[in-house]
Amino acid sequence: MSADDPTQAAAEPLTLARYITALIDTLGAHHLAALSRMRLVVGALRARIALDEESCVAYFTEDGLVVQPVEETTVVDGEGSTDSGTVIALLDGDLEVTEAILDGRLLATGKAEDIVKMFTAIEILLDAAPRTPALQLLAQRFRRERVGTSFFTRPNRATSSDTRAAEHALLKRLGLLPETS
Amino acid sequence: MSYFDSLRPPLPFDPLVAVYKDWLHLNILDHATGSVGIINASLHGAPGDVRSRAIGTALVHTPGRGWTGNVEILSFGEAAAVGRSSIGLEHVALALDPRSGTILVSVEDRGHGLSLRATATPAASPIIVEERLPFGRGWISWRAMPRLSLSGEWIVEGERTDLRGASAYHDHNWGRWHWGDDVGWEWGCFLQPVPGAAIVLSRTTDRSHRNPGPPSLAVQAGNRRRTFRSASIKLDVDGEFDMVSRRLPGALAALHQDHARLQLPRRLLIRASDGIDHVTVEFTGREAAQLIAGDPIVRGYGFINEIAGEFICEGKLGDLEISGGGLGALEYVC
Repeated sequence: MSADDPTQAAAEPLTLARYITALIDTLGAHHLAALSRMRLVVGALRARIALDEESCVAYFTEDGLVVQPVEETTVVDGEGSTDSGTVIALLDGDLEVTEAILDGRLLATGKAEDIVKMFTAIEILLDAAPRTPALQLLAQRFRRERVGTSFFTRPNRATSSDTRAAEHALLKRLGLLPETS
Repeated sequence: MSYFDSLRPPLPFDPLVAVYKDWLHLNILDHATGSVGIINASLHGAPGDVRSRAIGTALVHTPGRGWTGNVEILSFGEAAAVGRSSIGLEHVALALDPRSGTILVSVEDRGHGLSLRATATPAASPIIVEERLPFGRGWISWRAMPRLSLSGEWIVEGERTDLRGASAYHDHNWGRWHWGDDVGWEWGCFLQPVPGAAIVLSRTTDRSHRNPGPPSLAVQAGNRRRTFRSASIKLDVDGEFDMVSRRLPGALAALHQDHARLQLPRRLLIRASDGIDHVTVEFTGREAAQLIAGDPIVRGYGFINEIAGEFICEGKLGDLEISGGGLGALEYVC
């Protein structure tokens, strides 16, 4: 066991940047083909990722993943932001992704095709998780470190009628509801 | 009663060890509150493989409240205590007494609003299918106890319920298959309060449920048991898309958005008649929880939809009339 092993509980709490690095490193270590697929999907796109009060920019170069602090001059292709409570509620099945988006707890901005690529990258990671104990340990560590922090609030579980109401409100806000006489 | 059952770990040199599955399942049907509890502990993959997983599920559906509880996933060696006939995880434990068939269940998941301690004692003779029935590229075997009596209690979102008046159903499945194989099943237990009937439906299918195998319907009423098979059973289903209100584990639910609105049986009509005896069961589903099983060895997923609901039945076994209603749980796997 290495002192730097990000899956170990005894280590210092991981920052967002270290979580992102650990997730991608672990994926590459256990499923190189999946990492290659992810790189093929996202290419050189740059994403600004924000969690609670942390944020960073992540992208791939020929040498591998780069995760760096956000600077004023940083140009990105897309942005995703959420909070720890939402991530844990998603992991617990208390919240569906669609509900999180409709509630504004999970924000994704950018060109539609870039957002699709960003979500595809997340899907590749999620798809590898059942066959990768090290990824599961990272999720457990995230929970241990984030539950109870000042950023953690557990959202109420939505019902299907709540979802429909939220979907209606979102469509209305965007002017996408059919006109009624 | 001689029961003898235990987990069925693979023997040395089993060529299909990687796809080993073993599954202890208990349904608790509390007639007083209309609540339906689904508790299971299962093993997936070769015991010596670090990727293999033990999964514990404890969910209770309460009318008006929906599903309470969650799913827990651990490695065999990490935290799951696997005995000869018991599986213990951090929050969920199920133990089967091999000789008597008595089940001990413990759930302690206050983070998700559920505590449960109960002892379920067999109140019927078991249904035993020890043959290796073809199942996708592998096989499945099972045992079921149509009715068990209960002692104990659960606390759901702070509300304590004595389970002495509740009914329980237990099954144990084991076999070799990968999640993601072209397999599925329809499995239901429908129990009236004691001394009413306990009815168990089972049939395996392909994943699309378009090519089902022969169904079996076991009806236990008092000391009488009748099992209808194949062509003596007719099943009719009305499906609906808005039944799934909880999907677990969340990471796999996020991955499989396409399964969030599956068409599931809202109403199931079972008509069984062998020319002498007959039974009709009409089950109406309330809500479903979708448990997504990710195979730990190869890429593949199974979708276990647990539907809680009510049923009414009528029929006759010999001179014994069956009528009335009760609670049921229908498992629809694809």
